Amino acid sequence: MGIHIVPTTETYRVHDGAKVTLRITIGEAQIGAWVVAWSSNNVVARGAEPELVDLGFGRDLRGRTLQVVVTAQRGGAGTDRFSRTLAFDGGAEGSREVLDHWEQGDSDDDTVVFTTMIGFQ
Amino acid sequence: MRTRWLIIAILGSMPGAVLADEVPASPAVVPPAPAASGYPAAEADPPAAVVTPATIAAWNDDVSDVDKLRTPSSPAFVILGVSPTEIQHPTTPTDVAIALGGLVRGGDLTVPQNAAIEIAPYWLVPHRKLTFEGYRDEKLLRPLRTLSLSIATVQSQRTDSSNPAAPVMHTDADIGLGFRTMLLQWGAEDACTASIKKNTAIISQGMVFTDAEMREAAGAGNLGSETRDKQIAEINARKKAALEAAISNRKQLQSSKDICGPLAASTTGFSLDLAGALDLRALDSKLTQADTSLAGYGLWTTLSYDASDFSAIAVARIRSQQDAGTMTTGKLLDGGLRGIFKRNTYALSAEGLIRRDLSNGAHATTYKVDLGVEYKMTDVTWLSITFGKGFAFASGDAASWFSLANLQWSFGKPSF
Repeated sequence: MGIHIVPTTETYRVHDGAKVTLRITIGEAQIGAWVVAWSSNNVVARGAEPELVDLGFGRDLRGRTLQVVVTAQRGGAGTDRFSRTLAFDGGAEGSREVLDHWEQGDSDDDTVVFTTMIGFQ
Repeated sequence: MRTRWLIIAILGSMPGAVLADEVPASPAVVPPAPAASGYPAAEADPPAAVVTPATIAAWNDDVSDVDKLRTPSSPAFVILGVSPTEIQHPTTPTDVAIALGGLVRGGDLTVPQNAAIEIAPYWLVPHRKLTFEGYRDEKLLRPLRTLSLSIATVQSQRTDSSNPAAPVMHTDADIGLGFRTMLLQWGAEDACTASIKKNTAIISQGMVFTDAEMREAAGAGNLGSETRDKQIAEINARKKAALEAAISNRKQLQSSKDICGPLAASTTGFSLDLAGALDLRALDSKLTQADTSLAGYGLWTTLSYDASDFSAIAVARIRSQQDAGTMTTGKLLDGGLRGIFKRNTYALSAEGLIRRDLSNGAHATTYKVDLGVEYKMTDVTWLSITFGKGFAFASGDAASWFSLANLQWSFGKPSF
């Protein structure tokens, strides 16, 4: 078993009085789980299926860095592709989707971790 | 009564090595992939031998025939009786074009040797928003999503002796075209899925930065800067190494390859599979209408119910195949039921099959029943005993009840 890491960084502009939400989708019918956290001892939400996560008001987010860690392993799907979509909403730029993907190919890694640092502006 | 005792040693996932002096008439059975229950899932290809009149009688002594009759994963390979060592699994439309391009060379329209390609059309293109739950729960799309197509070729020699003074050797080609799909599935989350969710939740939590690591990364520069990205990569590498070391020492975090077989084999509940294949024979390997004919076909279906403690399987298969040498046709209709009761240290099974030989107007019917028990002697050794009555098309064998007794001594997991 090996782990492949896909690290990314994102920025998202917010309005002070608007609530920001995030939805995480693990695609390609792969099985996985996700964590949304400010740090390992300050977890906002955990899950496996797509779920709307309320991150709070923009004024409380601005200037902070949020971590989203999504891990997937091959299940029963007929593909070695992995993908993760982050769907932001409530910010200055409205809804925005960020897609990242990885293909296992000949790699011995059977687990992929999409780890994203999100800076709120 | 004819009683035989066999001692079969199975090393890991290798086919059984016969240690006794009597060899089963059937080809070696490849043990199925392990399921989360601790027993291999009851999923195995039929014997890798072309059905011919000569081999029909030789199938009599097989054990666990219900598993061999189950829908094969690559019907085209089964209908041709080939077990390619390297099957191309194209993953993109471009890969498919290249793979299929090898089937017909230039303008000669000849069939190459040993082509073996399996394609899952639905998965040739990405499905970025398709969640596992959607894949599992959208029943109407399941046949499409689980559809796989297989193509294989094999060549055989034929001697034309119409002129005894000058016999002519011909090289014919068989092209196998097959499909397989899961028509229906109902059931709860299986152990494989639950285990992966647990694994991935642990890994996700393990990859989250601590407060100290967040400060360490922030100290390297602004978010998105090259220095900060580099620092984040270093921290990720440290955490990954620690996780992989922990995983190697923790049995609850296993590779999905180790705990999960194909989805069809690892789910719990009902599933209904269907597979079929055609064998097109091209005389002298020429792909022309005049030289190409249908030499065989097969249709398989399997209805199974799998739970943590037991499995029940019903199978049906019709298969016809023309012998390349004698040009005679063998045709079999099979139906069977198998039940397996599983525990950590033992398993009990019972199966019954009816076989009707439709070859050359014979219309003979025979049946097979057997009971089996497997007992875990040590972590790596399973004692397996099967009693039953084998198929018997010949009248002299008709009363041979409990004529088959196999003692299997296995290194590894049992063949249930």
